[in-house]
Amino acid sequence: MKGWKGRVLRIDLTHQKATKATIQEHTLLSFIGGRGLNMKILYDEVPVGADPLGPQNPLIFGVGPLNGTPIGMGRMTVTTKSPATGYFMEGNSGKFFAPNMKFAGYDAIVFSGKADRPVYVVIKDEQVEFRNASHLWGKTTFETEAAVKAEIGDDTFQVRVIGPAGETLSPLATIIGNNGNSGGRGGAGAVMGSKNLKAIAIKGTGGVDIANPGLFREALDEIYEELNFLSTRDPYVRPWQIYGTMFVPVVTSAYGAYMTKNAREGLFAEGLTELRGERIQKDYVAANLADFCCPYASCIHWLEDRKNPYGDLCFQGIQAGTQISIGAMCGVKDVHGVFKIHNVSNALGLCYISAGTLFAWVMEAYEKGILTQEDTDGIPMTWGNHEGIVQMLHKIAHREGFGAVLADGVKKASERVGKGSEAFALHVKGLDFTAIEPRAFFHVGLAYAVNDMGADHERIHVPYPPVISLIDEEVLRDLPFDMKRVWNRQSPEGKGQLVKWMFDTRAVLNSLETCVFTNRGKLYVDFRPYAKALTAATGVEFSDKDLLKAGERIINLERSFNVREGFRRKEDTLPRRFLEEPIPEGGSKGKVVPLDQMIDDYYAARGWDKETGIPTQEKLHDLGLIDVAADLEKYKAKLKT
Amino acid sequence: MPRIVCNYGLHFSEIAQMFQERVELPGKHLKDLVHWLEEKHQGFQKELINPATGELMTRNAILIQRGEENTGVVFSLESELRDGDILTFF
Repeated sequence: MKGWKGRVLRIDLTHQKATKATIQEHTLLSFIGGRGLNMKILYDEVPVGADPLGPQNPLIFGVGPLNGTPIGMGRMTVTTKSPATGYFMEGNSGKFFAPNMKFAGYDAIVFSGKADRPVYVVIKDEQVEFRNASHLWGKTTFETEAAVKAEIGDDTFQVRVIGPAGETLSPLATIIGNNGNSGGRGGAGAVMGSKNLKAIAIKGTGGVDIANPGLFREALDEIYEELNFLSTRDPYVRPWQIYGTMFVPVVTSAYGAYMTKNAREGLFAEGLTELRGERIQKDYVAANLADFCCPYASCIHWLEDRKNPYGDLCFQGIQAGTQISIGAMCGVKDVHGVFKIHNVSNALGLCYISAGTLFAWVMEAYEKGILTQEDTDGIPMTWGNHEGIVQMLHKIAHREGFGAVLADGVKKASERVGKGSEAFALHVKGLDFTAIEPRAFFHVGLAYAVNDMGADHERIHVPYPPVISLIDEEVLRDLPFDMKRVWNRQSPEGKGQLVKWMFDTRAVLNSLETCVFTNRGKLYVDFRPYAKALTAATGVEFSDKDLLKAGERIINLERSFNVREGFRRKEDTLPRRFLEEPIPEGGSKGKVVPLDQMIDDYYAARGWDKETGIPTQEKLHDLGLIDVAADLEKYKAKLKT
Repeated sequence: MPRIVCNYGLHFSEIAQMFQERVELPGKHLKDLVHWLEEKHQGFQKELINPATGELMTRNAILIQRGEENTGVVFSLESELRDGDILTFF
């Protein structure tokens, strides 16, 4: 097999056994790899109703046929059943774990069961070793990664770890690697902790066989052409290459969409000055970091803050999520405070985006008198109080004091506190909100609402519009919508088709795998180079239409998983704030999200039942999901109640 | 002569050596603003204008917020500017 490895490594933590199994070719052709493959495994292997924190819920790491090549970069997907939502979750992360999985010979690694005591797993090519991790339990992610590498005696191993938040099973816990690459929002860290799995270390010494290297090189050149710093004609390519996503607040501010103080406002003027990417780049970036073979050589940075009142900080950071979720959403304009919160979140293994949304709710509740200083363990949780946030992060990670109220995320915290605070707890399906303003970009509002993971922005194209003049006319004509018309950001027109297309294409990118920041220029819409790359890598003929069909298949499988778990249409919604409270000022003021019409359009675009939001039998059969169609038939009686 | 606000993001802030300024524009089109910016902060013309076509290059973006209208993208040097406009260059 070329491109793919055709193998899954199954690690049974209960019995501390590892086996290898062949992946059926049909599965790979239908779901490609990475996110798609993971979802297929999850759908097939999780019993309906399984406890996300129980031994029956697998934790799946997946890579795609382009991983291990320059186009795959360092991307991989982790998938499991989410303790935050009770539905599936998938998270993408980067650096070097993914290529090492491929070089070791695996398309997927599935962790099942539960170890009887803390362990970490070391994988080197065919060898799998289980090691005692009792002495690592309680350590931060940074301490754990360093310790694991020291114990192995080889710091070229790539490591993924959990921190205390994962050990205490917080749904805010993610899986961290390379001292700050985070993946698995929705509680993947908690699932890992529930298995007593503290860390995974991997090294692969093999390579990747490419079926047609000459054709692959052609595809690579086509893709890189769009990402060339010097010749790009896309306005987002150069900023990403220099600033990563740190430039985003300048753009969102221009749109009046810099979500501020629990999304009550869209402008954070003082914060923008202090937290803007240009200033951070100039004053704090000590080195540039990049994923495996990434053409954006400085998308991520190593920062040094030697004047931080909390003490010297040297760390991997930051992204727009930091500037928005920790900064504007919580009213924190102090750059040192934002850095500290970012770093502590990563150290504890907490998602700072989810944590930021949670704290924004806390601060609004505190302002309204729903929470008092007595409730918050004597800590005044006022807007901008970064010291308070730092203290509270530790409490959350250890489920101490008020941290125990907060540790399960904003939905559960607001239900525990009550007193009307649920009204401004920003989440979708239980996943804490993320940092792009839906009232400014209606397609984002629709996407959050119907997203089967909940409020996650990474499963659609973030709201940087395409440069339509760069895209071939024939490709534009093939789209089921007029790209110029649907990009009217505050009109509901055409958004159903647009969001369907965005979800499908993102699923493709996450399954190949490749970095979602690279489909700019003509690649925003034109997937022919990706199809060429996949064809060249695997030796199997794929067209761009085949890819989009696979993306659609993956989305339908994801929805079907949730339907089996009890999904209802009413869960496809947004927090009331975005439906009833217009942004008061700035470049997006005065609008709320006209959701119902857009949801109907989305279901129609999908070919799903308009009343229930459930894939129809016809649609599932059209996509080759025959067994899934049969499954949903079985659940029909339950679905009607 | 429209009075506008210019926000400079990313490489434009490096050219201008500032993040924001208020401009009283001697002219009412974007091309007049570009000319003014070039005179004051050398480098804007090269960044913004395709020398072969004389048109705006797509590798940058200029957002405009105008009064009660919500922010949009400027595509043409002939775009008219009005009192109170806020432009963001990145």
